[in-house]
Amino acid sequence: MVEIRNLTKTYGKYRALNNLNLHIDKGEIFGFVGPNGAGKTTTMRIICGLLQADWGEVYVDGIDSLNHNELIKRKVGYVPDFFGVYDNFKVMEYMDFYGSMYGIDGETVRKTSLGLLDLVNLSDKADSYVDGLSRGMKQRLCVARALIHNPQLLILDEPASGLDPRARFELKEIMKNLGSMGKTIIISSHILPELGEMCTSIGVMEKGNLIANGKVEEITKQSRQANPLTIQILENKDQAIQILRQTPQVQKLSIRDNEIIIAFCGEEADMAQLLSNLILSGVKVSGFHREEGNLETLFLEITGGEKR
Amino acid sequence: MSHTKKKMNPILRKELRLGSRSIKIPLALMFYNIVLALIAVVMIFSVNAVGGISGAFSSNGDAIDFSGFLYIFQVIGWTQLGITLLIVPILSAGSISGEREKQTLEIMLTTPEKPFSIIWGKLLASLSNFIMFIVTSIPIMAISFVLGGLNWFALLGFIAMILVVAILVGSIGVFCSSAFKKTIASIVMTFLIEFGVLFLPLIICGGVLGVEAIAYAAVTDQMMNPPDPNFGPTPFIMILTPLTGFFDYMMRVMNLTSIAEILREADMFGVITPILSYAWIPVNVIISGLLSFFFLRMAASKLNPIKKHKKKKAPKQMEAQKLQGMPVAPQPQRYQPQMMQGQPQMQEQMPPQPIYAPPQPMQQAAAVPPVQNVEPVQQVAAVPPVQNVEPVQQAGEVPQQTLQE
Repeated sequence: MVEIRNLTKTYGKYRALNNLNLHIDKGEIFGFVGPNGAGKTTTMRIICGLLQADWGEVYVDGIDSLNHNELIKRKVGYVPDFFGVYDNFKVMEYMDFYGSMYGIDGETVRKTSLGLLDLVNLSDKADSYVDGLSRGMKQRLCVARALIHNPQLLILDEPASGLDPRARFELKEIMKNLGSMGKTIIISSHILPELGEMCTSIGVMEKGNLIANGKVEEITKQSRQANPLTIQILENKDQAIQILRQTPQVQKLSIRDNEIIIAFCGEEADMAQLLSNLILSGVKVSGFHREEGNLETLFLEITGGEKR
Repeated sequence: MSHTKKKMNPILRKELRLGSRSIKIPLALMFYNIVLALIAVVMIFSVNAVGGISGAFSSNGDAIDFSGFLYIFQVIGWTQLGITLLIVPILSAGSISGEREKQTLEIMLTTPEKPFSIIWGKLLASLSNFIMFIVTSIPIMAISFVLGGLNWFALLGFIAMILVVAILVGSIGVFCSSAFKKTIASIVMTFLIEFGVLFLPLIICGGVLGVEAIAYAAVTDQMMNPPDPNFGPTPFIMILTPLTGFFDYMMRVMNLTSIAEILREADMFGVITPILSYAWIPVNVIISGLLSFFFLRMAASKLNPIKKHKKKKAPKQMEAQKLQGMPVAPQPQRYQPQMMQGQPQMQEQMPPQPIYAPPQPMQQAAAVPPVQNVEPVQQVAAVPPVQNVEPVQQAGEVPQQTLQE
């Protein structure tokens, strides 16, 4: 659905995108992760034709986006990281205005809008003024607005920022619905656990480069393998340490009271084997677990942030 | 999606709808007409006072000097022009920058609506507000017709002429609005450009004409049969100055000598000047229209994020070298899973993780375009496969690279 090749963009002397290559399949919900200034927004803006790339190629649905700007605009819906609403408009009028910008006739816009407002749970607000909506409602209205021309690709820049947990949950549900409708969605966010739940694949950007890219499970599994294994022992600690020393997958070992923390580079099966070895040799194990890999740890590791 | 039916510009429709809900425009209209009405009342009294001397409305009831009321039209007409030059910049200079400040401009630009159409809609919206100012002032303008002198065609002509000025000023305003981020800066610049386009040439030409006239008078003072004055090309520059059309019209309406008539004396080409006299207003209107179009085009091109003429191309070798030398953000290290902080040594023997894509080394960017005398676009097309394909080989190399760093 989206194919980006060697995309480069410089702002003055700062290189915001550095030969970015990215491929997103149709129907995927792609999460863009990265610290501020990594180039996520720049990439998104180039895809929607709001920004000119220095060089490189962007294809959306097989169409060269940089040279057929107007065709692309009919295929892409964009929700920026701000609302961009007219306070003096009623919700339906707001939808109607953007419909007319796409050259859709009034009757069709009205029908589509009602469906979309239903999708984003705003049907009861159709005649309210935009001014009176809450942040979460405005955000959902923006999503509905971006869908007015039935785009195949929806791009959301930091959609969850500034929303309370309830509003974020609703947004997440909408995204899932849209995903099941077969829309390709690109979301950037820094609220990583939710991105992990929503997305089918993610890309991690830093300093204009895509440094990780793949299915969510693969990436989180990868980060999970990096997490240490914690074993709590009630009795026979020395015995346990001896067994652990003999296990080839154990690379590093540290002991805190009755807790042993090891760096373990094996698979699930290896973990199970280790546990049964311990128990069979008479070690009383009261706890055996590995931290779940999540995007947050991954993000912090990648971007070199401090973990709390 | 039907494009067959001609529809109202969506921006104009939106602005009209929003404008109808705003209290600002009605307030401004009220204020504007109060000012005009006050001026008219003062004029009527002063005409009466003057007329009183010559007998109008005087106790002995002699003839009223109706021609005095013509000057009400003149004074209100010029006041209208002055207010136009003040109001239209304010109405138009916020049109695009206001959207920018509301952060709705970006969204507008993601729609297929063309930048020129957005600009055009904004101009029409500003003018529609302005037309309300003119229309609501017609009753006051009509005092001159009720009390004497002018016919309705003169009023229609006046509205047409002031619209020409308003379109030009509005175009300047929309252009500034598109070119400057802040509405305040845009308004200030609109006034400056307005002055530069409308008044500066007038002042210069007027000054030159004045100096020439004085010089002519000095030279021909003692002559019995002075030759025709020759003001050179100045009249031809003046006809290109937007405001002179309005001036000319106002003088003609009053049956005064028009600018062209005055300049007929300055007969450089005996044949052309009489033509000039007839063509003054049409030529002037066309010039104003062209200038307006120029400003609107500029505004649209400022608005368009994608410049058509600057199509994608690989950087030339020079640029590539420059890029290579420039202080680029340091290449981020490829992600390697690490142990939790607190067990820092644990990671030593971790194998490199193959899932992650290799980084794109900076040098490749520089290596892309180097062959000279070849179409740059083709180079780009030739390059991607090289960069895209071999993640696996590079994956092994990177850890050492990062270690060295």
